[in-house]
Amino acid sequence: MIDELLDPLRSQANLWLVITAFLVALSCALPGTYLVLRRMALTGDAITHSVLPGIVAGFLLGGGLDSPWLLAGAALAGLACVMLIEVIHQRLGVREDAATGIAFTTFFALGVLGLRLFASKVDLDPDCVLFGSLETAVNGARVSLGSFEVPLAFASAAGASLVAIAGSLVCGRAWTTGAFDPLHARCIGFRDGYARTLLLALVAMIVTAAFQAVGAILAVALLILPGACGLLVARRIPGVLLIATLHALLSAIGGFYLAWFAGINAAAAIVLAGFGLLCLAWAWSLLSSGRKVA
Amino acid sequence: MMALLETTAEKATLAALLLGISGGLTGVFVVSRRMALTGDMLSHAVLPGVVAGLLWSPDRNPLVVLACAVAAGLLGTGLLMALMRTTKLKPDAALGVVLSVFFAAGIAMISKWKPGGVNAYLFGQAAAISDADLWMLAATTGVIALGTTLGFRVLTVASFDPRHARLLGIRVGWVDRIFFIVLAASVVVAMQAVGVVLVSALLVTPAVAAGRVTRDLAAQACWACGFGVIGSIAGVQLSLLKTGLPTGPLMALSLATVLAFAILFGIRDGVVWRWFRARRLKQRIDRENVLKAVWSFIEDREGGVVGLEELARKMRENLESVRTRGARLVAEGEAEWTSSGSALLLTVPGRRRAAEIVRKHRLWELYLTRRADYAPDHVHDDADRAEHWISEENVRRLAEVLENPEEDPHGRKIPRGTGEEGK
Repeated sequence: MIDELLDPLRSQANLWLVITAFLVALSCALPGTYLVLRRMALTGDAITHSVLPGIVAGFLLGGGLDSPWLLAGAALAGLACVMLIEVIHQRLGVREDAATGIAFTTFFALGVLGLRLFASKVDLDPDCVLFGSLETAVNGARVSLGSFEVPLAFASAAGASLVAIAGSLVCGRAWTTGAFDPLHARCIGFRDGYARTLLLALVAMIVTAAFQAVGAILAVALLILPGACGLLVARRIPGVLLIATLHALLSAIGGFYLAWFAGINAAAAIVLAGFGLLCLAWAWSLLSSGRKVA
Repeated sequence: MMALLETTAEKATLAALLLGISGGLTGVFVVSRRMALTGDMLSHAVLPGVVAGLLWSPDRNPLVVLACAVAAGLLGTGLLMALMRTTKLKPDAALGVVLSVFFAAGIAMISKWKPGGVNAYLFGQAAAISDADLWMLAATTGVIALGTTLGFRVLTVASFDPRHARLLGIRVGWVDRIFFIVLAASVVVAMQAVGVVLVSALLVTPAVAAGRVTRDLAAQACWACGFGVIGSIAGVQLSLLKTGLPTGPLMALSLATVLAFAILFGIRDGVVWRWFRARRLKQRIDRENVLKAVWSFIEDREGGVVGLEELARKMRENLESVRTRGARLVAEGEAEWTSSGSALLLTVPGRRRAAEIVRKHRLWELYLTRRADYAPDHVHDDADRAEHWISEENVRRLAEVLENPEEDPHGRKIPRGTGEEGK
């Protein structure tokens, strides 16, 4: 039984797959938790869709998936979409949900159109845009870090995770305070507007890094599921972040096995495993609240 | 009907027409019920159902696909309700969870069994729409059009004021449920043309555009249909220009363009009209200020000619700007240039306007000092603003209240506003 479970991990490619999946999930989980806390989960959804035109533009400006142009273009497109939502919502008095629906569909449509129009120049599979392909990403290009040779996808996921951890360490307090009490945040010297923009820019960049591995729509799951799971179980922010990290790790491992034994797309399997974990957390929260009442 | 439509281009255009109508009609209620993102959730949540339907009936029987998809959509909604009722997750997080998990389930099923024809649902292919799909679309649109027309009042009351609806004896829960099922069905048929992600554009964008034109809900529904039809047909026609152009994104972008036009030129609150009104107002205020300055010279001077230089000194502006503003007075027929071109002479209508403005200014100053106990040296700035807003009626009543005064608090004469003075 144990042998059977360990067997797939003996191949080096599969080991890279699990590690990369964990890092992608971790890099999304940390800023995602703050998004959920700030009730901006669907803004995250809008950003994951709207980075697409930025990615296409980055490709056209002559970059590969690892070029800084692409990252900058994608982050800019994500922020532009958020700004468009704000303008439609506040200047024109359209409700926020409708404004979000308008803005992200427009950006996504631009992206898909660009993808089709410049298909010869943009080396990105339209399928991959929607649901990603972790296997291809891990088995694709390799870079050498010192004496090691690692998959490019691993390197970019590791970089994104480092950025996410650094961002959470530096701005975490500002994001949390702003989520619960924006006025207090202002009183103790945090500029909540800047903190919010920074969080959204971070999300846009991390989503771009995660794009190839998991695609636009499943990236939303990696943003929201860990934070939601953490909020169901823990009561304090460090606990929530810890649970979110644990959720990222377990859903990467669980997703890998699910994909391996059921023969399904790895990214989708990770999300399904993550949902399984959320259901466990849900059950736990129901049971523990029942105990409290009794 | 189908026999008349030979080419795929005609079929795609008919599909766009039907989609525009159904999207516009449901969209108005989606937006007014704040369900824009629920629509987005539904379009993702129906995917596993679509895949199941395609697996069940490999020859793509649209009824089977529709039934499975609606079932999946309702399942997703059930999960959403359960998450919102039993956990402390906020609606946005709960929507995000359902949306992405159901979509992941759909992707997993696709990667496992690879059903044929699923790409049409993921990315939208209006050009590849089959006769059977077209019949399905026509039927759904018919049901939606009939339902919203007959049940318009019930649906409106239930959307805007559920409590009042309950008092009227409407079963709000059932209205909501039926609306949800119809919405899920229209989402599924729209998906084939525009793809999973862009269904929201078809629902939300025309409805918001209609909201820029009118407030009345019934009129909004008509406008939304019109905008939806224009946008989606434009999208289809654009995609036919070159092979390989995707229909869905072009439809979404055409709809966004229609919305942009509605925002700019909308009857109710068009940005362009607003800009024009603000500009006209600014010009009127500016002209009135120049007239007032001219009046201060001519009220105690023979002849009534005012040189540009003394006017510029008085208004603390440079000569050129005073010259352009003087030209505006001339263009409005309120003044004339003297033969040398370096001085202004007010015409009779110009005198009347100037006297009116100064009268308003001084009456308001007097009112503030007498009735509101302002010090005489504190009233000028306020009167400078008020003089542009006080209506004819209010001037008359101010004069009445102040018993037709002759002089303002600074001892200057209040013009009678007939244009007689200063001649």
